[in-house]
Amino acid sequence: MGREERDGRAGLTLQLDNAIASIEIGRLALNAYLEPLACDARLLNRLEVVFEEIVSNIVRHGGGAGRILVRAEFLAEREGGGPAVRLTVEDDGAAFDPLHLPEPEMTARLEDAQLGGLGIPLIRRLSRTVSYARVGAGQSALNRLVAMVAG
Amino acid sequence: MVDVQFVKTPGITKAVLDGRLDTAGVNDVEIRFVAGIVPLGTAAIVDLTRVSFVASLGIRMLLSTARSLRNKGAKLALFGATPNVMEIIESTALSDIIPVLRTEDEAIAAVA
Repeated sequence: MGREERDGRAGLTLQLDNAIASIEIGRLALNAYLEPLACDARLLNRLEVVFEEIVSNIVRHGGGAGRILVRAEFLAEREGGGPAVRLTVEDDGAAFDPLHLPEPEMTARLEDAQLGGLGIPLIRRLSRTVSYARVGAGQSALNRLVAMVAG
Repeated sequence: MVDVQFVKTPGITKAVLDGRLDTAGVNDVEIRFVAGIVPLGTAAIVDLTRVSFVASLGIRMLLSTARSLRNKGAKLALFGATPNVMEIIESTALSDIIPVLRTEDEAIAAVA
């Protein structure tokens, strides 16, 4: 199950198991963290989708990740924009950069449409910025995905 | 838990989805959703009015069902998406591939 820590106004930290149920646990914790901060509905929806896609990708394809670490930080004022949330998700699975996956080809023909691989493009399109890094070394190395999501 | 109800009239099936089309929701509803639409091989419209959230697996379910129906010579259209759901539909270009309309009447006209 999940372990949650509130770090004052600075953000939310969660440790989740590598399990589908963790997505809902994380979503509820994110909502509870952001609810008093009066995020607009579009920002919340985008954040939920980005969180869902990142964690779902780890759970379904994550190369043996044992744990998933999530940090969310609400940024009330940003240069040149409204509120945003910086979402950081780390896992201890095998090194894997999902942002290097090719974008599915866009098509208007139903018979040619690609059924899979829609999650990573959604993360890109709903985030202002998104980046991947492999951090640490040896047994403690982690995949780290950081998405900045705005309304 | 995602609910799905079907209203079957001659020549058209209406599926009414209710809930979150996230990873868990799609795992829960996909078999019932497909089974209620595809075997009939008739035109289908999907009411998204009560869908509060959709992620990529939900888009894939809708796309896959539309394709299966197309293979049987019938069309599928969506209607009633909320602004949040519509943003995801447009971000995945689903609306370029299958008709996504505002109202039930428009959806019926699109699959006729």
